[in-house]
Amino acid sequence: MVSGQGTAPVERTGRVLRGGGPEAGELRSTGRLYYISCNRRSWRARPGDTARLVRGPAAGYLGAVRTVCVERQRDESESMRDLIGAWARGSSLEERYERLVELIEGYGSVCVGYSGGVDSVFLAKVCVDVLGADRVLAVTGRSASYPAVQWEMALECARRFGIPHEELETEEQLDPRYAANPTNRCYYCKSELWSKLTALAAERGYAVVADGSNADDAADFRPGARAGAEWGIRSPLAEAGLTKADIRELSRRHGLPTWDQPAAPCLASRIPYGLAVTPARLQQVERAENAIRALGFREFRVRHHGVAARIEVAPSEQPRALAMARELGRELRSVGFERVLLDVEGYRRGALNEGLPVLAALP
Amino acid sequence: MNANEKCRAAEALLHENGLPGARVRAEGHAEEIAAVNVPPESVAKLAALAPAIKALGFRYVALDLSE
Repeated sequence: MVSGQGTAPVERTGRVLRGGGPEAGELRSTGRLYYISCNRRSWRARPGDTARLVRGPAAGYLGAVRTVCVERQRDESESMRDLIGAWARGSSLEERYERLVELIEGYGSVCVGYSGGVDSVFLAKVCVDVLGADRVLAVTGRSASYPAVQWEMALECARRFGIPHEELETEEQLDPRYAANPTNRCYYCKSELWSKLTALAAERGYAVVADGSNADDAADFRPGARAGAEWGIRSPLAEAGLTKADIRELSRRHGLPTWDQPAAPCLASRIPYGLAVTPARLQQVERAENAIRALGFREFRVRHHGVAARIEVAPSEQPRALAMARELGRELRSVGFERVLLDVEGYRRGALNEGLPVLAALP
Repeated sequence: MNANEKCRAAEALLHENGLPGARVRAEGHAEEIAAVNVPPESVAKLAALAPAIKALGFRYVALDLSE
């Protein structure tokens, strides 16, 4: 059960209390949706829930929909997706950005999980703009699954935009539950990262730890998000309803070089579930992707299938990949793959999740 | 269907749909990839047939670049 923030215990009697007091209204599923937000997590309210409106800085809100606090069983299947969608559809980009600024102002100080990707660079930059550099620390968790090319971008952006930055060694690969590469692998990786980062933030006196999850992520299969919720990690970009496209546009306006950078998840995401994540495989993927990058390709993935590599390139680059099939094959064989394959459907996000029988296999 | 049967079925499908010389092997640690040999100029046709090949039990359809 979750508890409310500064509210009296509430019952589950089928009513949502509105106005923080005696004013009560039945929960309706038509028109505006009501949401439950407790301990920095949110759920869409269901008929049968009872909740109390929360006011003041402890309460989040989405547009005109004030969040309510309720005591009920957690239901992770109904999490941020509907919540964010409702707000994002009814607001402008400027309003969502304004909401982001408000959220960050409310933090006072913040430690940002900073990978050097589009989202976290933008978030760290806005945090510095809003709070000042002395109240922000961007931290990069580094391990064998973190690509060197991403580290270079993280360093460059931190230096160029005055973002205080540190690295933190993470050792998720030592956890056999992670190394076995189950469908919820990201949960174990993020648990390792957030456990270390929250400890560091507490030691240094940062009030909040935030990540760069965006509103689109809430609609994807992201077991790592559960670890974030367990460690109390805030996701202000998602909470403000900012989508990836929004963040790219705002990054462009802020002059960030990452605005059109392809998405760059960790190297372990190239290894299909069930095939063990090992340092050797991660290194092989990184070398293969570096080789393809050197051939001038921009948006692609090398998926590791044991002795076979399956290359996914963006549809716009597919004709060039076909023309360079011989070179691609040669380069990938040189890093140890016996078989080299070019996916005919091209690069798409979350390709390794395709066809999974159960997406919600969480601990 | 086992991997061999899936490959034969995929080849039959490709042959019937205008790719008479196509050859298919199952690749990947779970034999989840249909690795297809067709000339590069036939890739668009192969991509159009990918959903039908996947329906035979493959998760991915790829052009075999191995020499």
